Amino acid sequence: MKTRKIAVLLIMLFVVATVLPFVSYNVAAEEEAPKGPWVDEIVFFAEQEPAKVVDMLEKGDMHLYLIDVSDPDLFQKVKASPNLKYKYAFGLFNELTFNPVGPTFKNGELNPFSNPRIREAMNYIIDRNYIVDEIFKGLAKPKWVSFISAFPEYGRLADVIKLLEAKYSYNFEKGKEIIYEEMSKMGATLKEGKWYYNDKPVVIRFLIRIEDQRKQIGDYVAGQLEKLGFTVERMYKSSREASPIWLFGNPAEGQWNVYTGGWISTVISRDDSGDYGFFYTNLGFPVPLWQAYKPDPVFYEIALKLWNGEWKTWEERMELMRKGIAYELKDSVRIWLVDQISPFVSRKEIEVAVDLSSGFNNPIWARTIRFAGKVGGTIKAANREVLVDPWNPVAGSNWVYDSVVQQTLNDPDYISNPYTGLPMPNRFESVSMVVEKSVYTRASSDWLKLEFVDKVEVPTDAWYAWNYTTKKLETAPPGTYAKAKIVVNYGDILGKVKYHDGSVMTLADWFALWPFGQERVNPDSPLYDESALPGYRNWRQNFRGLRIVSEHPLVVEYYTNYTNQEAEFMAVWATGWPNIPWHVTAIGIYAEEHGMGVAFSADKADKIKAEWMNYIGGPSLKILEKALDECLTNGYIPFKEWASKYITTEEAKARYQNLKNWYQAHGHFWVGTGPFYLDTVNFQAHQVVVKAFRDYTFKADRWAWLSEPPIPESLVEVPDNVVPGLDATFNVKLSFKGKPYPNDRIEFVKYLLLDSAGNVLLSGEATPGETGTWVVKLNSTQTAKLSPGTYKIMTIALSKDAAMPSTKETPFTVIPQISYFQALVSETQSQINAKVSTLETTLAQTQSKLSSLEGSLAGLQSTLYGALGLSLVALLVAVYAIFAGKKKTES
Amino acid sequence: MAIKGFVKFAVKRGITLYLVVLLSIYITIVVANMGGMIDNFIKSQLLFDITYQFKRDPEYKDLPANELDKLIKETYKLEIKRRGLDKPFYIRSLVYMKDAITLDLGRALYLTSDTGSRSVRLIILERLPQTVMLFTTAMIINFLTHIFIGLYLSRHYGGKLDKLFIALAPTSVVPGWFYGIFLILIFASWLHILPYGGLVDVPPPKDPTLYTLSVLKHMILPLASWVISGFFLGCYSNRTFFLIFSTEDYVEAARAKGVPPRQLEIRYILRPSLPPIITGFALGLIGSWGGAIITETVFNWPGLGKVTYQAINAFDTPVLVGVTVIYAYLLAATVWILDMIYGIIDPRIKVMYGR
Repeated sequence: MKTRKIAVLLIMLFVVATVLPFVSYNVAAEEEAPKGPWVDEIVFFAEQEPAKVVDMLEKGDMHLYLIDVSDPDLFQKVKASPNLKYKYAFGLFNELTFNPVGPTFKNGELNPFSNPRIREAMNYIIDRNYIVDEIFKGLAKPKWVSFISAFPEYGRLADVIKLLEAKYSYNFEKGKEIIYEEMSKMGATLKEGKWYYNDKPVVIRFLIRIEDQRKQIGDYVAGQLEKLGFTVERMYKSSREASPIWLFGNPAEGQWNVYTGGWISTVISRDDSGDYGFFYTNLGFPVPLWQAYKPDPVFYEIALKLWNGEWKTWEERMELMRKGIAYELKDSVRIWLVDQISPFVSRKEIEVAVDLSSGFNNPIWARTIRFAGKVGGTIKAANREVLVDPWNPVAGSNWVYDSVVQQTLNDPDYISNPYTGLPMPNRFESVSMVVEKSVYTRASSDWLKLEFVDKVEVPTDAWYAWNYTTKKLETAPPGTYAKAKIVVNYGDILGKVKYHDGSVMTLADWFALWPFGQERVNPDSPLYDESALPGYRNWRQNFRGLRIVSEHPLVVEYYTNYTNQEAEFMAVWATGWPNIPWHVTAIGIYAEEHGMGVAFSADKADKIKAEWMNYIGGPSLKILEKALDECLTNGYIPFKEWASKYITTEEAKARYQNLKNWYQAHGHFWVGTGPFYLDTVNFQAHQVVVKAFRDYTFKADRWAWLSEPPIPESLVEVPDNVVPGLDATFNVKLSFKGKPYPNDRIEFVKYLLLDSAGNVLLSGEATPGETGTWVVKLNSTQTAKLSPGTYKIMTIALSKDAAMPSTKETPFTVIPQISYFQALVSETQSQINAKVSTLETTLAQTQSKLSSLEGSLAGLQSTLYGALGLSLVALLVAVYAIFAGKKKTES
Repeated sequence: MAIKGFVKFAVKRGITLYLVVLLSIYITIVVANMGGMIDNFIKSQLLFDITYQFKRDPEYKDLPANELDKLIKETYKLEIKRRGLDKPFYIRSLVYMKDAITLDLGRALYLTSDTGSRSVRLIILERLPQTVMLFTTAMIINFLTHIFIGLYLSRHYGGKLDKLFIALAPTSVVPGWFYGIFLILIFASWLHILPYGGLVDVPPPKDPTLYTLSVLKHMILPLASWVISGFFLGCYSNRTFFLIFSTEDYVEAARAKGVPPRQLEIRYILRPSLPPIITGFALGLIGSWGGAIITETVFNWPGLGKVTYQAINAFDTPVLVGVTVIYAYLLAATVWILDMIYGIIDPRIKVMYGR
């Protein structure tokens, strides 16, 4: 018996011991974020065929695809799949570019689109909803203005834009009427439904791009033009075939009339004030087409002021923007068609942040990716291409296919917020900025302190330039001024941050190679590279000085002439981070300097017939290996006159040894500070394996708050009825994931009141109420303007944390005053009736209660009488008994 | 006399072939550049890209307009220079020609090799092993199966199997990549037992044996698609070819003499038909080194066909010229060697150079 008990106890212990680790592991997994990334490794591989991609995702052979899946039919499959999920990004947009030269071309042919009214009328002729629904199958949004509807500028101007969208909505007959009128004025005649000019048909030469949906758009628009009586010559061309004609040909030659244009924005653009100048005036491109643009003088003035930043306050800027936008449609040298929606697809179990504009081309993806609720695992990430051009730390590949991998390995000084485009500090703690008063800028981030002064003078001990002749530092000459001083606190990092090869960051990594950029533009230097000149000139124009304020923490002061209306961008112009340690760049410098057959830039490599330096493969590796050996042997210190104050020969040798060990272990020279390190590269198979760097400074949950775009969800509570002449209140409820949206994170909530035809009757801004609620109050004067009928209130809410505005249309009814009062009277009457009837009922109930009370009373009375009778009898019996007892006693 | 004649014949053939090679290379250069028109395409695209990049970059917003335009022009000029577009096309065409003659394949304009080199030689050489591995294997499998089955069918002329092959021969008009799509659908998508494509598993196995096995696994479907595609027609053609030979008078005579069938096949049918078979084999072998654009795309196979396709799209003349030069030289050398072999073994040619 005792043995059995022990056995049971042991079994229980065994079970507990077996289960406990799993339980504790899961708890830990849920709660503890590791240093570095969530996952253990990512394998990048190439797959180009979208149909195969979707199938592989479905089967689990791929976890995410780093390029959008924009095929509408395939996307339907993705949407229907229980195993897949997707996030949207924006940035591609389509338009029609018109040739504005005329009225006639050099060959005497009439160009209808030289007439601004005809161009403007084309807005009515194109049914943008048709393009969205039939060509893009919902993966696009109709577009009337140049601003992308998911980006901040659109949100800021949404109330004006909505007016224009309503005004220029599809109305073929209206457009036709205007075009017919103008064509007649231009001397064209309509015969049997066809337009003629000088007895020849009016031919529209339509350049239609063939690579994407623009082919279908072109066919649709060509059809609409034919319906108007034009003879359309459809010229199907690829980008390369079309650009010499529309972009570089002389538009007066009449080789084309319309072109199906497409544009891309690869970042969330926060300032589109240059759009008017770029798309509608000769400021845009130095090519004949742009020089032929003749906008309205008022529009040109607005465009020019915005182009040159000639405004003093934000309000002034916004006023210019508001004024300009109507001219976009009036001018219509190009009419906007759609903003494309690009879906980025992954397996359901994958959690990852996706940039609203660039999708996965933002370092944030590598810092947020994980298997839901799990730590560790291998992610299989496919891309259209993997490993395209050589990688090197100076002028290597700039392909997105390469940068998306590098983003896992490299750590930048800042990361662009994937939902607002605003910079967020990644490797610095805070910035304080002193800006000259004449510069307009503003800051909205808590890491940035901003103040204004009359003048910003550069101290005379600030580094100003590297004199490559004397090999000495030049400090700022007295009387040097800058537009801003930017003081960056990087925190206490020196001696603490580790590189992938085990080296620990020192001041040398920051400043030892400071002369390098300037040596590259020294024609006498073996490092001279002509291709570095344009970039250097721009840097020189803006850079005014630099000073190290302290080393622990590392605080550096920068002086710059670069300005931006958002101070965050000025700050990150200055900030930096030595992601690649000095010794890694040094072996490349050594190899180029010693003419070993490699060069950092493609231009120089081509010029000297050398290899474009590649730190991860190819013939460069052997050369770099040799360079490393020589550096190690000699204790090479680049720019010794300067760098030897940061590096000793022993330190240099130790660093080179670290790199040699790294090369022997991994077969490449790519060393950084990012959350992953480059483990293996397979050029044959085009695969790259990156593994978690667990010595990374930060934990995996650092950016967890960015996993989803916090775009507010809107719900509008409308009054039952709005009555002209009476106040009306609408409550706009904003939430995110079911929780009320904090009011202080909302930039604005605007509203538009639209009639049933879509005309805007009223507009304004809502005021904050309780958390998550914004109130639109219409006063009696405003409601008095509304005649009875059905209306819509459109609300546009813009969060400070997501660039994409949340719009919502909610219907409501306006009833006549008389109906209202009738309703009020009948309601009062019915209320009274209801009250009377309630009273009656109450009375009846009371009556019945009274009757029942009466009955009860009667019953009670009878009982009372009975009781009295009984009492009497009892009394009599008692009296009798007393007397009878007495008698007995006496006897 | 015979030797002298043969040398004369060999030199004459060599010179002719070399001239043909040079001519075809120059035609390739001109066609690849569309007679210099491509320059305009590239230049316009370049200016557009550079201007757009600078004008939309907030970093350059503060630059005065004339400074910015200067910067754009400078960058454009540099890029034009880098690509050699600052020189007229006819000069560049002669440079390409010189490179081709000296077998210096030069540097690509845009493309890089798998390992990131601009050297055209490496761009081609790095892709060649995978191309040979897949398409030469397919070619050899096809060659051998077609010969032996063709021979078998010619022996069993009119039989059920022969009729079946005749009936199924038209299936070979469907290209290999088309079968490839079906094979992917069945074995990768539906049964999920073979990979969708690529060279090796994701991630690649570290152990060399496992790596090799993984590559072999990835070869199954593309190889099968090429084998299936060419199978029936290939066998049918060989069978017809052998049938023609087997009805020659000397074969009939041998058969009448009672030569055993095996001996008949080898001595009387296979041997005389060997020269055209060897020619076919040699040309097929060289052809297989060019890869196959669509099959490589369907199976995501990193072969030479894809490089050629990329070069065509990017108007990368040096790469196109490089591929053509190698192919042309190989072809010319093969044809010359075959000519020499025929010269030695074919009495008719002997008579020709003997004159």
